[in-house]
Amino acid sequence: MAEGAPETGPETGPGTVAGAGRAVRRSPLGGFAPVAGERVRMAETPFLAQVDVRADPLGEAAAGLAAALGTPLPVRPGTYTGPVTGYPPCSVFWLGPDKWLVVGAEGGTPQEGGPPGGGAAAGGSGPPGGSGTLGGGAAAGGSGPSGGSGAPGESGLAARLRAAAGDGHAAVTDVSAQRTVIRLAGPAARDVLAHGCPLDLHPRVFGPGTCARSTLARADVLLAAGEDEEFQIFVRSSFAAYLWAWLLDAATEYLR
Amino acid sequence: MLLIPCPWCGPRDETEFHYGGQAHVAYPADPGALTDEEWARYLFFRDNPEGAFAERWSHAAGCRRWFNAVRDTATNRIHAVYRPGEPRPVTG
Repeated sequence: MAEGAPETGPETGPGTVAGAGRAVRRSPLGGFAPVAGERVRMAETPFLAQVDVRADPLGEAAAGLAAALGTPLPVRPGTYTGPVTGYPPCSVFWLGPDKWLVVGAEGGTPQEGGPPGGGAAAGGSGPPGGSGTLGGGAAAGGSGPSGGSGAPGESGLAARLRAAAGDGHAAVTDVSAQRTVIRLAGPAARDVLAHGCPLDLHPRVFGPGTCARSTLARADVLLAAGEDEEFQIFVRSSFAAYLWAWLLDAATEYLR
Repeated sequence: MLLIPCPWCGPRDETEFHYGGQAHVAYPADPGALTDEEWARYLFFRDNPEGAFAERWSHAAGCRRWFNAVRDTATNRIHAVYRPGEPRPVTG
């Protein structure tokens, strides 16, 4: 009792990653089991590297970033590009006329044992393909917080983007911890979102490749539409549990 | 409920926006030279027309940009939106 504290093993479970030493990384929705229904599927994609970029779209920094990313920064409002392959695979979301969010898998996702947030807790009874599809987006991850030349705790992606911006007038900020991502998919996904989002979600307006910041159940979100009725919902970590509960409630009628 | 056309994002629901009051209220060139009454007039006095009114809005839950809109205060119809720095458009 006198010598040292008792050795408490790191808590493990869905959405947690044991890091070096005894540090445990816990995703905001690590305690929630993914949903895999016929019409609605829902899972968290935790620990993505997210970098906020501000620059003049016509400036020198934007050109450097575009060269490094392998794609121009999207200038059409409400669109995103990606995932771009080549460079560390990442997506670039338009947030404003001089502001983008670059999202890469580099922040590290649990590599062992299937889709993030899935694993053993999912229970084997769900329809096949459900959580597998949802987990696919993060397949490129797993490198862990890489040692870049950036600030402490910063993802390697941010350091690389800052280097790419060079001496140009730009701000590159790591915001990986700010938001987590909920992937919502299935034929009823649009209907679930429409329960609490003021956006026009008609496929003609909000089809694949479009994104928008708006509110979902009064929480600020960045919503992005992908192929096959799959949506990414970027939500602040502190709002994630609330939004997950709200989505579950909104999806109840489609899960019967 | 208003449908406000953000100059960048297009028509969005009013709940995404934040109202910013009358547009084109210039900061006094030399505030120190103003009398208290003139200063108070700059700070607190705003037009209150019935009809077209140029006002500022912020797309707070969207692209987070400020812009100006000419709104008819009687009908709530928005006649024009324009970006900061652009002159007020002539509206019918």
